[in-house]
Amino acid sequence: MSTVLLLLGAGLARGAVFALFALALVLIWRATRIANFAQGAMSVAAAYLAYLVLVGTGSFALAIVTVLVVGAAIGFGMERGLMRFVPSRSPLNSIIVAIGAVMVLTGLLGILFGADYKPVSVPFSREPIMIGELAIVSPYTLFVFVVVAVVVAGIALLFTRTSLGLAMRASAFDDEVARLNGVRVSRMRTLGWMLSAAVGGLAVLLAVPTELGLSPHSGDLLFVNAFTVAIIGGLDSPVGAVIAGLLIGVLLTVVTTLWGATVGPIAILVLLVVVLLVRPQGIFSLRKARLA
Amino acid sequence: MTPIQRWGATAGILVLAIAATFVLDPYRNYLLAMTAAYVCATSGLSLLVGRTGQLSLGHAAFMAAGAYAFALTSNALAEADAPGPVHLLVPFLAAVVVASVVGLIVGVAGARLHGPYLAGLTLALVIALPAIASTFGGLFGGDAGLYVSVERRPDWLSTVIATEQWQAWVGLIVAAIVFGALAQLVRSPSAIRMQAVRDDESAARLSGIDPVRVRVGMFGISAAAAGLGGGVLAYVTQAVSPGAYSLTFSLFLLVAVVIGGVGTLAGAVWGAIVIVLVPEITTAITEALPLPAELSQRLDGNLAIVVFGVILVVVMLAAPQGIHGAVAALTGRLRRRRPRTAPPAPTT
Amino acid sequence: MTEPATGQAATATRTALSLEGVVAGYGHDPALHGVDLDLPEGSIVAVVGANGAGKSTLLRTISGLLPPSSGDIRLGGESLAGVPVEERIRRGIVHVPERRQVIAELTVEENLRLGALWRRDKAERASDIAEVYEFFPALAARRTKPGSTLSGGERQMLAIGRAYMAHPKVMLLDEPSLGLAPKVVADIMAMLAWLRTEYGLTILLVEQNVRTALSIADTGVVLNLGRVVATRPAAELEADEQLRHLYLGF
Repeated sequence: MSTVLLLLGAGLARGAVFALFALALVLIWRATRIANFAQGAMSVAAAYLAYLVLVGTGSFALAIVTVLVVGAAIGFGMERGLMRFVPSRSPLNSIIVAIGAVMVLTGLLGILFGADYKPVSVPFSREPIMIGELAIVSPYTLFVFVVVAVVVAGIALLFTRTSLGLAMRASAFDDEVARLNGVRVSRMRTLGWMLSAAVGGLAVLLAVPTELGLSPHSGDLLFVNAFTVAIIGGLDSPVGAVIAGLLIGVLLTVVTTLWGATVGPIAILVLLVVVLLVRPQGIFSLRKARLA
Repeated sequence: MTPIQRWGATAGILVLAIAATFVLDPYRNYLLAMTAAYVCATSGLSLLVGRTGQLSLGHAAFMAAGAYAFALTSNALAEADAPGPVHLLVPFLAAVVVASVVGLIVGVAGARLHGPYLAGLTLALVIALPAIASTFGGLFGGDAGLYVSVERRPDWLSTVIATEQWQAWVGLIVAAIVFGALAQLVRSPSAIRMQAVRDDESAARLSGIDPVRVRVGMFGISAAAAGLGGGVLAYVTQAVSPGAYSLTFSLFLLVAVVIGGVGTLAGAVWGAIVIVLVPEITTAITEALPLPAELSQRLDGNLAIVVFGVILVVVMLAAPQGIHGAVAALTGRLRRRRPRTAPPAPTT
Repeated sequence: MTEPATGQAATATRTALSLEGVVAGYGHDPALHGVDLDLPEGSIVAVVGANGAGKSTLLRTISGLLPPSSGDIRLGGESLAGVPVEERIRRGIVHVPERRQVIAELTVEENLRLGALWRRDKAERASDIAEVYEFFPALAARRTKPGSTLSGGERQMLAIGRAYMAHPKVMLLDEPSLGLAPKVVADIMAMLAWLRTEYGLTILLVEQNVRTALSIADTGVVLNLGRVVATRPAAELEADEQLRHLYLGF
C-alpha cells in the first residue's frame, strides 16, 4: 500500500512537471500554430541561469524568479529575433529554424557549462512524510504539486477572465478578425512565446532535482516527453495537457520502477506510436486530427 | 537523359572518385569513406523532406538499424567462416532490409500525419535508440556497442592499396549505387506522383494517387538508403554503438540536407561534404587556439554544433535553396539564355 | 456610361470618409483602378456591382488589410496612409468582413467584448453589451454559447453587435445578407437603418443583393471592374433600368 502511494505520488509529481511543460507547448501552439521544437533547449537555457543564481545565492525562491524572468526574455528574443522572420509558407520551415536554434543553444550551453550533470538542490526534503507506517509523498513532491497547480490556475484565469487572455485567444483563432478589432496580434504572439518559455523553464527547474542534474541535453528527453503528452492530450487542449501529463507521469514512473530507468524512452516511443496510429488528434481533443 | 546515361554518369563520377583515392592520404581516404556513408543517408533524407514534405528528425536511427543489422550479420558470417564475397555483400543486404522494415513501420505510423506530429515521432525514435540498445544489451552490446568482424581488403590488392583506400572504395561504390538508384527515382513517374501529392493532396487522390502509399514508399526508400549508409559506417569503423547515431548526428544530417539544397540529390552530396569538413575545421581551430585543456574539451564537438545551428538558421532565412540553389543560379547566369515565350495574358 | 466622380453636392453635411483615386489590388492587375468615393456623415452608402467588381477589395483597402498602391483615403479629413490595421478601429472605422465574421471558438459574450477590447472605459463596456442584447434578444439567449452554435443570421447580428461595441464613426459591411433568409435580412437591414438614424452612424454597405441594399441606402455607388461607374441617390438608381441592366444584371 505504501509503495503504491509512493509510486502514485512520485508519478503524479513527475506528471505535474510534464503537464507544465506540455502546457507551454500548447500555449505556443494555440497562440501561433507553431509547434515549438526549441522549447526544451530554451527552457534548459533558462534553467542554467537559474542554477547559477541558486549556486550563487543559495535561494531556491530566487532561482524560480530567475527562471521565469530569463525564460520570458529568451522567449521574447526567439520570437522577435528569429521566428517572426520565418516564411510561413510551409509549417516545416519553423520547425527547421527552431532546430537550428536548439543546436546553437545546446552547443553554447555545452561550451559554457560542460557536459557534466549539474545537481540542483532544493530546500525541501525528498524523504516521504510518514503517517504511522505509511509513507506518503515527500515535501518536495507536495511543493511541485502546489507550484504547478498555481501556475496552471493562473494561466487558466489569464485566458478566460482577462482582456489580455481574450486578445491572445482571438489572435490565435482568427488573426484577421482580431486585427480588425484592434488587437495587436504580433504583440500577442510575442507574449505567447514569453509565457511559454517562462513556464517551460519553470518545469525544467522543478524536474531537475529529481534527476541526475542539469545537462545541455536535458531538453531533448523533456521535449519528447512533453510533446508526447501534448499530442495525447490534444495539442489544442490545455486541460488535455494537464490530464495527459499526470497520467503519463504515473505510467512512466510505474514502468521505470518495474523495468529500470533506461526503459523510459522506449515506453514513451511505444505510447506515441500507438496514439498516433489509433487517435492522432489526441484523447481529449474534440477536433479532427490537425493535418498541420 | 535515359536511364542508361544516368547510370553511366554516376559510374563516371565513381571512377573519378576512386581515382582520387590514389592521391589522398589514408586519413583523407577515411574521411572520403565517411562522406560516402553520409551521402547515402542525406540523399534519401533530402528527397524525403524536399519532395514529400516529411521531416525526419531522427534519420540516424535508420542508419543505426542498418549498422546493427550489418554488424550482427557480419559477425555471424565471420563465425561461420563464410567466403569472402558473401561476407562482404550479405551484411549490406541485411542492412538495407532491416532499415527498410523499420522505415516502413515508422512511415506507416506517420503517414497520415504531417508537420510536427511526424517530426516529433522521429525525434522520439532517435531518443529511444540508446535505450533500446541498453535494454537488449545482450544482443546489441549495450552502451558500448559491438565490434564488427568485417571482410577485409582482398589479399591480392594488399600490395596495391592501403586499407583506408579499400574502405573508401567500398563506401563509394555503395554510395554510387544509392545515388544512382535515387537519380532514377527522381525522373520516374514516382517523382511526378510525389509532386502531385505535395501540390494538392485532394486533387492527387482524385487522380487515383494514394498519398499514403507515396509517403510511406518514400519513407521506406530513404530509410533503406540510410541503412546502407549505416552499413558503410559499420564496415569502415568496424564498430557500432548507440552513441554514434545520436540526436545530434540526426540533426547534422538535416543540416546537411538543408545546406546542400533540400529536395535535390546534388545538394545531398554538398551537404555530406559540409558535415564532414566543418567538424574537421572546428577541431583544428580548437586545437590551434591556446586554451586551457578543460575549455578546449568543451569547445570540441560543441563548436561544430553551434556553427551548424547558425548555418541552418541563416540558410533557411536567407538562402533556402542551399548550395545547390546558389550553384544553379550562378551557372544559370553564365549560361546563355534561350528566348523566352511571352508571359500569359492576365485574366480579369 | 460614367458619371462625374463626386456625385452629389451634399455640402451641408460633413464627409465621414473619402477615397480619392485609390488603386489597389493583387499583382500587376489591380482590382481597383482609381476609385473616388465620398461618404457623407450619417448616411448609408451602398456599393453594388457584379462579382469581381472589386467590392470586397474596396472594403479591405479602407480597413487597411490591403494597402493601396496609390490614392488617398481620408477619415474625417485625416489621411489613413500608413495607419496599421489595428489602429484603424481606434480612429473609428470598423470592418465587418464577409463570411468570417464571428470567432467560432469564442462565446457570444467574448465576441462582443472583443469589439471593445481596445477601449479604456471598462464601465461603459458592460452597459454597451447590455445594449446590444437589447437590440438582439436572440444573442442574449445565447450569451455563453460558442459562436459555432449560432445560425447564419445570429452570426451576422453578433458581428454587427461587435462592431457597435467599438462605437465607430464609420461601419463597413461586406455582404451582410449573404446566405441569409429574406426575413432575417430584412431585420438586419432595419437594424442598420435604425443605427444610422439613432446614432448618426455612417455605413458603407457592400452588397450583391442590390434591392436590399438600395432599400435602406441614401446613395448607391455602382462599381464595375474596379471603377466607379455611377453615383446616384438610391431611389434614382433603383428606377434606372438601363443602368441596372448594364451593370447589375436585372
